[in-house]
Amino acid sequence: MTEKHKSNNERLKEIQEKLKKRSEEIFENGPDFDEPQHTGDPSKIFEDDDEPGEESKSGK
Amino acid sequence: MQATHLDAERRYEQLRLEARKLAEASLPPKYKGVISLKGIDSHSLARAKAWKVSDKRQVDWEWTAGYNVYSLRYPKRFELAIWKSDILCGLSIGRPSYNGSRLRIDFVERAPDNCPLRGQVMQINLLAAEAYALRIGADELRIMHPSNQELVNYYSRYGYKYVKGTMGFDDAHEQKPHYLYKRL
Repeated sequence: MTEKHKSNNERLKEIQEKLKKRSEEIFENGPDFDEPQHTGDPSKIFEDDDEPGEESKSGK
Repeated sequence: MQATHLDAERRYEQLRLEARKLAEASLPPKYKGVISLKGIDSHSLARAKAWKVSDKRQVDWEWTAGYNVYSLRYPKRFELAIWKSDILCGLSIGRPSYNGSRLRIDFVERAPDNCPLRGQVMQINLLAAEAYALRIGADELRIMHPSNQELVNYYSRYGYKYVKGTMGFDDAHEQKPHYLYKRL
């Protein structure tokens, strides 16, 4: 196994552990029926929110 | 389409796949083998067309046309289709900032009628979005344009903080967007 692959595997393992803890927090109280039917504004999804100093090319 | 764009699409598709696997493996045991997290494809878009006729739907958004433009423009995007067996329960899209330090969720929608995961779609979406953010090395997740105070309260319960934009919830001409964020 190369060093690059090893570090990638370690990174994945680290994320997995973090997510398991986060999952316990999120699902701790079961389903949340205050859940909205949607989140966000479709008319604004192409707008940028980059801070000054960042180029306005989010995600490209 | 430029070669660099295609290359980004290919590389980030792999990261999306890995992040969905990580999120799926982190779901509570009761969801294992019941819920699947997938990318958005023609199958899910076809199912979402049925949402348009629901009188419970609160938003007028055409997923097929919207997703096609969004996916073409943002090869590094986050995308998610949440399925329970053969039922499409939710769709979501988002994208990283230019420098990749944060991920923003632009739009999430739960199936408006008879969703078997009602009360859990946004929770699952949060976990999957945070998984993708971590996978691409971002350290912040933003939920853009929360439309009302109830929604702010909802995400606050999951550790998200509200940042007010230059205008109120309903202002169509806000110069600086409002959002919720969480450091990961």
